[in-house]
Amino acid sequence: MTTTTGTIYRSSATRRSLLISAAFIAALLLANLLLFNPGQMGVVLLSGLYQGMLFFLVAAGFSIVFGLLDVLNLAQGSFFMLGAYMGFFVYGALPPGTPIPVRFVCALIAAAAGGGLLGALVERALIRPLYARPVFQIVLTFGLAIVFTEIIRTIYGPAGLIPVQPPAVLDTTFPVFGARFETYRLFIIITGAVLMAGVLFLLRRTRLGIIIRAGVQDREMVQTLGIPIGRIFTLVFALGCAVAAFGGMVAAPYLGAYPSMGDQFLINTVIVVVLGGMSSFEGTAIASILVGLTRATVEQISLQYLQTPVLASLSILLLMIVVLLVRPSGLFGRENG
Amino acid sequence: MSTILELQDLHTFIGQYHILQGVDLAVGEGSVMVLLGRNGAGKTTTLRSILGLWQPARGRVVFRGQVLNGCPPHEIARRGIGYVPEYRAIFRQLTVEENLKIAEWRKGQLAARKKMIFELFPDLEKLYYWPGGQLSGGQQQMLAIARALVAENSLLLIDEPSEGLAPVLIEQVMEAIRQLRGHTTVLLVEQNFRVASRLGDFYTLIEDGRTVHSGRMADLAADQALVQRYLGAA
Repeated sequence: MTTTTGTIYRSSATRRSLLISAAFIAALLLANLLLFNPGQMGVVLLSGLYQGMLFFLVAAGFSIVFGLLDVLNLAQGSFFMLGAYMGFFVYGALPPGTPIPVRFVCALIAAAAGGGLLGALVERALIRPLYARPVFQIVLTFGLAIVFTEIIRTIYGPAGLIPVQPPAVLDTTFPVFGARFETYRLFIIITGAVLMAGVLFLLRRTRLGIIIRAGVQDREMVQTLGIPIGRIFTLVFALGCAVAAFGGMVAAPYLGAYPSMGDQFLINTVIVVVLGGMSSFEGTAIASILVGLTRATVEQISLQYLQTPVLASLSILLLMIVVLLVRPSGLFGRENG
Repeated sequence: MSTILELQDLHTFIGQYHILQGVDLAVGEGSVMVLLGRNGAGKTTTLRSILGLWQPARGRVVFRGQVLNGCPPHEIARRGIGYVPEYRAIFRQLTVEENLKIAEWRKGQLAARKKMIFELFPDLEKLYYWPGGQLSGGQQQMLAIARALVAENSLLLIDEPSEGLAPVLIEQVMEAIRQLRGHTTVLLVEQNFRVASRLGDFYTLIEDGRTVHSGRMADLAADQALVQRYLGAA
């Protein structure tokens, strides 16, 4: 603890959370060191970061929206899926002869903008009348997820779309201690990290971030300070949806686009958010990486020793159980809930 | 002295309960008006009705000649009404600096008021980068008042500032409120009559959601029978 002006205070609870997170990550690194050769280890760690960043792109909005609005947006995964489809649509709709990098960038922008606009519309038209009814919100967002999935299934069919081609510079592989790793997955890691830093900057260093963090604690008080909290709610909801939709398009050249991709990511997202501590953005960011690394490490162990990847999905649930036993409110959750 | 805030026959319901059943009150510019009454008399509801947190069902809230009924809370705040709620409601996760910054809804407000705020509450300058949750109860109260001063509010609504504080801290908070004279008008809700009588210029007494008495604080302090009857304190 310090009283020096200009020094950022870090509470003992935060230090403990950071220590526990560091211990889990160190254990995973140690397991990698002991069990795999350098090439495998490099690929596993990068795969873990890749998966972690994908989880983060969906979980970031989920966590902030829950923290500020108290809304469990079960349609968050659908925005990831819709982002992929919106991006694909724009990618394919551009005139013939449009260079691939231009198509790709336009698709990313369209996905983020479309996701944000749709999110704003959903908040204003559907969520806002239900702020005082949490159970209704859950039913509504769950229903929305089904509706979005079925609309896409009706338009594009159940099979999904073949991944679009990313720019040539990203469509290669690079060496990692003798093994090879896809450059596009590295691009996803970097994009996720940049977004993570961006959102962290927004929350920690901007006025909007201060309002969001204050609103998480006491919405009513924020209003009495002259801040139109309704507009902030719309903005935050739209931002969360935009990030998820952007994430969907970022992932699409690697994963493709298929109607159920949102559902798959939603389950992992909920685990990430619970692990990190509901409504803690920092917790969500660290938990995403932790879940990604755990999944990739156990997947490799499982394949190497049992010839089946089945343990990978279970490992995340086990990780959640272990963390919740140590920290019942999640890694960075407030003890009083 | 011109009237800055006037409540005219204010009625407010919370759910099915008719809490305010006719509150009348007038606050003169530059004065400290104390709203007195027993627990559950409707003091906090009166403040919340002024702020638009609970919309009055009947009656009028007039601030600087303009009717506030129906306005959302953020608009009411921007017209110049600051709020210091019971139990402070400072943002515990935010630093002192951030707690003050959030109250700045027009750029430059904090910069313009910082010197005055630090003169009133020197502790806050030393604790500028501390999280609000790490401050003592008295310091949190100072921060809550300072936060309400950032936006150049011409009226502060302060709810039970002595609630939950040790006697030595109550003295500090009283001193701070006393120093607000000349900076802003204050409508103070205070259960502790000793505190109220030392701070207030005027009083309004409410019972069961109705105004039953109002006048100069000095007159009330001299009328022990009235104090006993409505507040149970002497």
